[in-house]
Amino acid sequence: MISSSEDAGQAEASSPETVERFQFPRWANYLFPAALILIVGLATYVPFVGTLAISPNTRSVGYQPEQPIPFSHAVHAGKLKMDCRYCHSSTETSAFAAIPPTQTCLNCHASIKSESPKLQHVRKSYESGDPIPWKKVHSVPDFVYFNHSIHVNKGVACESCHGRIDEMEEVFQAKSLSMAWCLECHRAPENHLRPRESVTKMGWDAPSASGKNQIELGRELVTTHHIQSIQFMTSCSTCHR
Amino acid sequence: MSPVETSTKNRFGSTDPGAMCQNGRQTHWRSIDELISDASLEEKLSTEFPMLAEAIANHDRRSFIRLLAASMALAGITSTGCRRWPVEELRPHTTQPEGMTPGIAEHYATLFEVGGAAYGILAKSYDGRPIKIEGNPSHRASAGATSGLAQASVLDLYDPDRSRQIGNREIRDARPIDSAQVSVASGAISASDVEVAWKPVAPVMSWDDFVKRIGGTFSRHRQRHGEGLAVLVHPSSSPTVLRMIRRLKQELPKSQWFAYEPLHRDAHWDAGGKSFQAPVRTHYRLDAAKLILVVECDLLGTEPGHIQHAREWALGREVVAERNMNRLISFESAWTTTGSVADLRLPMKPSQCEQSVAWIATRLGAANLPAGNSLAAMIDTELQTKLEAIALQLQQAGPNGMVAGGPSLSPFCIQLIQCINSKLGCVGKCVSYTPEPLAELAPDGYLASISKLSQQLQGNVIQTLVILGGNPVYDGPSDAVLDLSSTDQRPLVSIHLSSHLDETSQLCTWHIPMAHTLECWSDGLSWDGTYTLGQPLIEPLFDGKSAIEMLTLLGGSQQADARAEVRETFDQWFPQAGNRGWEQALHDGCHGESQLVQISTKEPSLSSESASSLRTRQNTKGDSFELRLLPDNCLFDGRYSNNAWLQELPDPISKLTWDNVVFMAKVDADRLGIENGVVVRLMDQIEIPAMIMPGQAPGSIAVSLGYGRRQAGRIGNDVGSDLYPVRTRSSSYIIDQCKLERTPKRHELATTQLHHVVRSIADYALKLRLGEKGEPGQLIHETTLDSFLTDPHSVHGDQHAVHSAPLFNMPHGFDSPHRWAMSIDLNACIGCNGCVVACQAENNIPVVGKKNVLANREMHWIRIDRYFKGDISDPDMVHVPTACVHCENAPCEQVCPVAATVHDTEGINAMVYNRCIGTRYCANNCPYKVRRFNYFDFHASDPREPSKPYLGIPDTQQEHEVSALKKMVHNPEVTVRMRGVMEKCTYCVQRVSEARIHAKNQAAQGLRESDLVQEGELQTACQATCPTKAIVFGDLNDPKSAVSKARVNLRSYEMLQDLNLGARTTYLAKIRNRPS
Repeated sequence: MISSSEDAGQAEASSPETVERFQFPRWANYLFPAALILIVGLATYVPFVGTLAISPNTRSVGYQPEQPIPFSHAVHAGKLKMDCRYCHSSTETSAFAAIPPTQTCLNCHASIKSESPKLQHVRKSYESGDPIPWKKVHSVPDFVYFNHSIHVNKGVACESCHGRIDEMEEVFQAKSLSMAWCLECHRAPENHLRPRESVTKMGWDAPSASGKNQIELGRELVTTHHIQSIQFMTSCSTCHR
Repeated sequence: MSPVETSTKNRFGSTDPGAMCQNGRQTHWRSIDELISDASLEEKLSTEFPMLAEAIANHDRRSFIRLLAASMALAGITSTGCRRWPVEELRPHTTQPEGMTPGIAEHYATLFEVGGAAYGILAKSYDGRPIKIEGNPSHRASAGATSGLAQASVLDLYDPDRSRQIGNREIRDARPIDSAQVSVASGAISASDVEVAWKPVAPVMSWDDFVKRIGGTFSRHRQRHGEGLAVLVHPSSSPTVLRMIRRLKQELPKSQWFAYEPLHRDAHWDAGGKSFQAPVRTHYRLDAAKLILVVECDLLGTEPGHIQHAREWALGREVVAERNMNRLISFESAWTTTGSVADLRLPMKPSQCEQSVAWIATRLGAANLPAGNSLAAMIDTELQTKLEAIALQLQQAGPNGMVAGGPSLSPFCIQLIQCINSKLGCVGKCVSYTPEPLAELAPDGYLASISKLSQQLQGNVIQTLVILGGNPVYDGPSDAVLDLSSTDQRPLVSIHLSSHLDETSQLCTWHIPMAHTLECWSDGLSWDGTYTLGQPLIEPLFDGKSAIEMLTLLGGSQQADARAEVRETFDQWFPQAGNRGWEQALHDGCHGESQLVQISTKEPSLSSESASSLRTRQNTKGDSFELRLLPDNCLFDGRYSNNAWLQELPDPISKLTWDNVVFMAKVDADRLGIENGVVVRLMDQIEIPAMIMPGQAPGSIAVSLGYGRRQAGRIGNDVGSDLYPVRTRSSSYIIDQCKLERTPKRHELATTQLHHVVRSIADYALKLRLGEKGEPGQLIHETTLDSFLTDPHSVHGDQHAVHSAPLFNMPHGFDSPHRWAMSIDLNACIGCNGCVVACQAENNIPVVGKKNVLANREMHWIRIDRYFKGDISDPDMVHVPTACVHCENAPCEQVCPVAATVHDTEGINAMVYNRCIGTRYCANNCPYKVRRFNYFDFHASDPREPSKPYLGIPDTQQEHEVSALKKMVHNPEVTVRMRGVMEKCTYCVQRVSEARIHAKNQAAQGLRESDLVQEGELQTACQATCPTKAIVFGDLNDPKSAVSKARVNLRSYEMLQDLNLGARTTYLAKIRNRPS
């Protein structure tokens, strides 16, 4: 600790011309504990914020808003094995995998369970013309221009980004959808590619479907599907505009 | 140390500006200040960040730090980073419309009409919102291109100032109307006065309520066969409107019909009547002409049909290699876009233009003028020599030559032009005449029509006046004022259909909001007579009505069905077409078989008595000038005043934004001691700032119309000076003796001519760039046709000389299947600004306002640099569209500390907005000065108000401050940039992505062979809109692509080639077909 004693000054004062020696003022005694508190504080704060930033919770994994209609993907996609594209029909042609219009629901439900109370909102929407306000689950930032059609056409499965939808009663976000996560595949597409006809299959795996392991099949598909170079796929302008 | 040799010479190697003008004919310059090396300019340009000057001046260090601390604290309190983004809803249709795929934009063929001519357009609709206008390739008169006005019309749709409800003026409460009229004209009326004058009967009045209230009045008129009913129509080419008017005239024989538009062509109609016994429309085939002489005529710019003219003119320029290139000669007092690209431009006063025409007509023997000899006396020998040469060339060209005259000429002069064309034998080839379809509404011309209406309103003849569109109170002739007051002696009900609560609406009893063309069914005739259909893309946002619907109401029926009316017209015009034909026409936007019928070619009859109507005055002594009133290149006649894109669009000639000025020749300005920005008084009435314009004819001055609006809206109110008050019936375009006085006042002019100057501080570099003493610079390569044909390489000067090889490898390999590149043909560019507005619409580029333009902060990604060359009294002009050239070895990338600007593999220099931290190093290091920085969140600020810092959470600003209506025009495919980020041309990367993904998808689905984007599948926004096809964009890897072909063109060059940047945008040199 720094002492501010007057004796030290006197001991040095051999000559009257000597410049008075610098002395720390009294309040400087508190600098050290203050610095200590700051360092300890930062040491806790930074990892705390850091953990928050990378936690799956922040990244919205598991985000599951309540939907206006108790629609079960587990029943439709899982039990009934309906193809994803029956409802999400624009997936292969548009950037946007369309949420089906009310009409699509009633294609079947006009005759099946037509009186079910669970479907009353659907019937009301169709009669009134008011759209059903679904909550968006999978959302990327506005500066990301994700295009469904090109992924589906090049053999990226629905499951790869959306998870096992066929097992979800109510849809939740299964993957982080962060840029690092996107790049995992854009840097090594062979780890994820499938033949085009299998993109909507759930629980698909390469060995049981083709007898080859994923890397082997993936490398073949990179060639046959004309997947562009890694440099292209990791260019900024591929996803951002 | 040896003393450094200092030079006192200016950068053109001369100390005397006069001497420089003489021997520096090859040098390009952008302003007079630059030409004479003004010291203050030098100081301004050498500032590293001119755009920062004001910001620094306005904040001292302490307040800056305070602001900084406050924003940091706010950011901390609100924990900017730790919020989940808002919950979004997805609302699908209940029943999907047929053919609609969510996420894919649709294009509908419809029309855009201005100046009595319809242009076919394709409107792009995204999720039901029209967001962009494209040209319609299947429409003959638009040839796939559009004008800047058409591009900007989509912004008008979402104008927050559009009137939103039917209004009624409580006649008793209002002040005496006469005084209101006077005060509007003199500008004394203020916004609060207007609120007093306007008292809507009820907050919201529905159309049905209005019909109920007004229905009785109309049925009374019908019972009396239309007596007391008058209708003033804003001229429209619409066959349906004409058909309905014809029907109403039959039903109500006593009703009176008038038509008025300020930029009329009465002189042409009059001349047609004298020569061919009926008003005629003159059509030009510029691709067939080899010698085109235009007299006070902006054939490529503001004249109707200009898109087709520009395309055809450019077709005649493409054949440079042969000796076949056309030659354009212009006689004009003030610059027009046409004059700016003329191979030979003779600046002369309006009266001199007419004398010259008469002189040439006499010389060619086309007309026998008794005044022929006196003409020669009026024209000085120097000019006579030039005219002699031109006459000779016309004679040689014969049927390949043509002369076109503008609307400002006297009828006799237009007749003389008709005679010259007949004499040349070009009628039927380059020039043809058809009946004028617009003349049906006002056979004696619009001026006669409105003066008759004005007279009728004086008496007690008209009880109800319906004004369908237009704004006659603002733009009517000052000696034919419409008295819209209603008194007990003379009750008058006036109804105005208009998009805004404008000057006319303020004086009318009723105001009805007008539907935008994208909101209603319509049809029209393009200038060449092609029948064009217009269909709505969106329900009227503010319950607007179209002229067709108003005419239905006049006809006594309550329910208007505009679609049925248009269909009826279509069936009458094309009885064979049937349902299928209708659907095809709707799809194409036009019906191919329609055209105006040419009248049989006969000699125009010229009576020598009318020779006296030729403008032959030349008494411009002292402070009296010949004043030429021009349609504005951006605002046209003032109807687009409230369009912020057009207000901030730099004028093609003066590069002026947010103002109009009076253009003066340098000699006149020097004589009167006037500098740029000095306010002058015209005719003791109008105060307007002056701008010295090199190439303005001495003795004449020019002002563009359309400014000084009082009731345009938040954007257009009180911008510039209104010239309509001095415009009379006899002086629509030219005021003969205009008095001009200097005032002590000054006005700051926001001109962009010296912004983003491609220059370096070093004199040496500047000489290299702009050229010196006969050597072409690196920015602009140009030569004459003769020297090009003798030695094609001469166009590049010594620029094809050896270049030093780069010391290191290029940073990128660019081995992708595509290599995108652009080529811009300086020989075709007319500087029309179409690309600038198209880019603004496509890429969500904000408007910054006059204050920020003054601080170099305009955001346009593509700018058109205008350079002068040669003598200050008669310079040449070059338009150089400049956007990011996408250097392969880009200087901006090398200085970015956060890699926010990087290349992709296809050669696009991409900008990653969310990485950018706003150092602006890149803009500083860019030799082309094409990078733009968002100093404020311009989308969220009002361009007429000073920009204020936003103290909330930064990324919530746009959400809170941009109105939902203004947001609707944004292109969802492009990021809306916030403040603090750099941006620039992306080669329309969103369109590239779309085309690339489309090709790959189709190939994957087996619908096509190649998964590569083919030539023609992809167009950038600027390229698509260009009327002259000066901009081509494509893939360098495809040797057959237009851009690959342009690269091997002998005229091709790279700007600033010695920097070894490997620019992807190259230019084609300008060739002037100058008579030797």
